[in-house]
Amino acid sequence: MSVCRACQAPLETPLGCSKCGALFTPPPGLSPFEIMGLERQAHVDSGALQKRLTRLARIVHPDFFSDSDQPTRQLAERHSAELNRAFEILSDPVQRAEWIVHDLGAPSERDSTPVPRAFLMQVLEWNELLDAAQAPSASAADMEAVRGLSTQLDRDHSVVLQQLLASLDPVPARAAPALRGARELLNQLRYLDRARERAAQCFAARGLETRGAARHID
Amino acid sequence: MAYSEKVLDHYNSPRNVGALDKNSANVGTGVVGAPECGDVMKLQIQVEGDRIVDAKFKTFGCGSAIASSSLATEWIKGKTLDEAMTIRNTQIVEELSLPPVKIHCSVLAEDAIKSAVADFKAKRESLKEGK
Repeated sequence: MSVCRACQAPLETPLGCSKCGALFTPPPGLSPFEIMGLERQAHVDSGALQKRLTRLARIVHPDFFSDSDQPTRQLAERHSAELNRAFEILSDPVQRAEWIVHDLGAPSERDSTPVPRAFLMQVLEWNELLDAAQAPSASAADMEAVRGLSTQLDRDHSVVLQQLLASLDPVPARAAPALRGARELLNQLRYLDRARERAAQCFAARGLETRGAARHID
Repeated sequence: MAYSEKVLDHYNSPRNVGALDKNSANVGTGVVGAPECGDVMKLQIQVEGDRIVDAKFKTFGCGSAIASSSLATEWIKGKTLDEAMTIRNTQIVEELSLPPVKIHCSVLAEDAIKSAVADFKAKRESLKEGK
């Protein structure tokens, strides 16, 4: 852990010092883990994360700098925004995993990381079912099928997410082969989310509630 | 973003949409996807001897992905397997005037052809071994 340049106290975040209140201008491109002063980790305790945010937010809160010069006030505002953004990312398990994978130099989503053929076949089936439900000729049976699909997608999403987080715990070494597998699972989550969105659209079009579809379950 | 006339033509009246019996010994099925945009493409070929006599596709994705796979099925019909394997995504880009952001759609179509041919060949090999 680094220490404060001004008072030598250990730093909890590179944005500022909790002891003497100094604000710093860290290098750009810090990861959300770095901003929150945490090790890269797949599983995050949401209560502890919330507490940490509250504590760190106090260091950079613009209200404490209302008497400071304008550049300092602006820095405090920027840091507060950055801190909140980092918190949002780390609170969302999928975005958190995406950051770990990205940080460790895994193939990007644009590289042709294979998604298993059997999985793509499933994606085709979901879409055919969703097409039928969105067609003007859609029947009550089609909507019932989408309901069943929606339940299955939610379940699959949570299973794949657990697999993903398990594959990143402990965090693999930089460029480890395991990261490729993690990318593949992230790709599957993309397809699952997309299908859940379409299912939600089907319900919305018929004035049905979506039962919290397309929300992440940690 | 404006689509080219050829893309719109394929999008509005796609050729060879549908499915072939994936369990048939003469049918190869290719399935490929582009996770970043959620596109998924299925391309099937029916083969007699070494020649593709029929091709069908089903694509869930943007207009360019649909047009690329529609064009791909048109091009591979009547070709031998080896000839079909020589089709490059750049030819699809040129024919459909795809903009740079849509090049991945043509890559997907090229991959779908290769995937279908590979599936057919694997099937043929396993049938030979089975005999």
